[in-house]
Amino acid sequence: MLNCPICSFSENPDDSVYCTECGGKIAEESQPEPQVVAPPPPAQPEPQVVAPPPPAQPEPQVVAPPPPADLQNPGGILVLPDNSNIQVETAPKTIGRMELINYLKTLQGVDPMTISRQHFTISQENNTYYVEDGNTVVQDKASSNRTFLNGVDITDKGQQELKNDDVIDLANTVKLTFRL
Amino acid sequence: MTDFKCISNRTHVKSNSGSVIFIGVDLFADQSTILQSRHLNICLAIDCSGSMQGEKIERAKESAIILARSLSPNDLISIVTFEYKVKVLLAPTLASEQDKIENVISSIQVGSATSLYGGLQKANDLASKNAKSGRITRIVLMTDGIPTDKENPKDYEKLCAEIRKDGITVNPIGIGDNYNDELLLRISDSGGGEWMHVTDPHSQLPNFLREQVTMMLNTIAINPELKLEFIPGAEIIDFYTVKPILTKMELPQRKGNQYVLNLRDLVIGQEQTIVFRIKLPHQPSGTYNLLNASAIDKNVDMSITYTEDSTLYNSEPNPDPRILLFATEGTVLMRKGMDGDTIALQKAETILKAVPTDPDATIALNPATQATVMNLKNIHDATVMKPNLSEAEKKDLMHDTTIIRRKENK
Repeated sequence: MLNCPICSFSENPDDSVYCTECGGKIAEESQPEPQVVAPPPPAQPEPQVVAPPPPAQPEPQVVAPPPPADLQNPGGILVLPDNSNIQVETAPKTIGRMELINYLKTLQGVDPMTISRQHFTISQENNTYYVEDGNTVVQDKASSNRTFLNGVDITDKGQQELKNDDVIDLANTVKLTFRL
Repeated sequence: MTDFKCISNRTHVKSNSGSVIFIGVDLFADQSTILQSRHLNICLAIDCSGSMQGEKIERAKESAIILARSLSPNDLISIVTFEYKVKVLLAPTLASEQDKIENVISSIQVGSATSLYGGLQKANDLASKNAKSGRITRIVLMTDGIPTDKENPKDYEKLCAEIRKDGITVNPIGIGDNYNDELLLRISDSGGGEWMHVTDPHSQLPNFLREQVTMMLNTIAINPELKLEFIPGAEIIDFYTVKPILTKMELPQRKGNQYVLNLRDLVIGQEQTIVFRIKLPHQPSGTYNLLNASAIDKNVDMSITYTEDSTLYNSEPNPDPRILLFATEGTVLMRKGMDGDTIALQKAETILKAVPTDPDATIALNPATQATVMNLKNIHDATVMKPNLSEAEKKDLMHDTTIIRRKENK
């Protein structure tokens, strides 16, 4: 008999993969399922028409163990000061407190509320990425404590084009580096 | 065009054995949907308790005027204010009478106490008069405080369910940090609306009210029904709506093998996602009709195969509905956990361990499922990180447990 890790039901037959009580998976879920064939070695990311320089080699990451999430899905990323990163999706997406929460937790003496829930919006059109802090299709209003792009305040100033290595500063508290 | 999809996580289960499967249902009307032009009927119920004095009441008045101006001449508007007394400030009036409407709104003054229940009842009296004439009808409730007439959320649920039967939607807007979020959430769930949380009346209130009008204009089906007819002996264990509002639903009445569920109004561009956990009956090997589902004018049939082949019954062609249900259940548990229910918090943590949160593992999932999982993780992390959340932070997070992410503009 197998125990369900979710609902603790203990009478699942030995060959069960799914709990007969709650339907949960009895086998470890956190193991990535081999649904996708192992990606080929990350030889060359797709040819990028616009950005000429090869993507800057990320600094050797001694600490962070997981492989960067962008291997299968080349595109822009926002790199946090602790070298963790946020992948930029094709659809407009807001970045704010929740996206940065793991990093914010590690900062001493910083109130996470300094960062708005929706601090800025990042979007992509025709291979060009943009940042905007204001009312966008996915963001209700500008952040409370402003956003700076390479030191310039862009709050409520509309879309700004992003280039490799641009620095987005949230509320003078967190600096994110944009990488293509 | 309306799109109606049903997906189950498994297509094969073990013969003569009990199994639990998950079914996700998605209903969406895109921009090409032909819209019948209908007149609107909107009733504003405005809290005029003392705490609304100043910025809040001024913004509420200003937003009410903006809303009235955005209506078409043949739309109807009515206004109820409530403090200690409940007053009908404006009986249903055609929006063409702009001067009269604006004068009435400008005359609003604050008093004391918060007769929220009375206000809602009166709003229903006014709104329901014209609800059956084919008008799209909505009550927009604005409040910043705790009711002083009736406090029990059950009373409100009952009233809102009655209101909803007439096809009227109740949309509560909470302003500031001192209102009862749990109550507004229950009002919106039973009233078919959406709880809106206003932290900055100046920038948000006018937009929220304008949005109400847009949503009403884009409504293509009021009170739509979802009919589910299962293989005999199957039952729904529990189910959740994920979009537009994330919430646990009460089990519907069952007639024979059929369940009939009332959905939120179908609005163009707004996806409705519902996910079910189903207990299947024991059956000998063979293929059976699992489900016939219908909504609006669409119909979907699904089948299920009972087999002795363990490779088949142990496989899961689409883990999405299962992960979506667990992530949604976890989010609802977090809502309780935030209110100090430690058992709910522990359960949410168990679920969080059982769903993939690592980006590599979620890459195969549907974006909405991925977003639900990440939202749960974020809410959990934020709650655990700051054990003493302020009322404002709590409301913010609480609101995050109800909305996953707006549909990306198509």
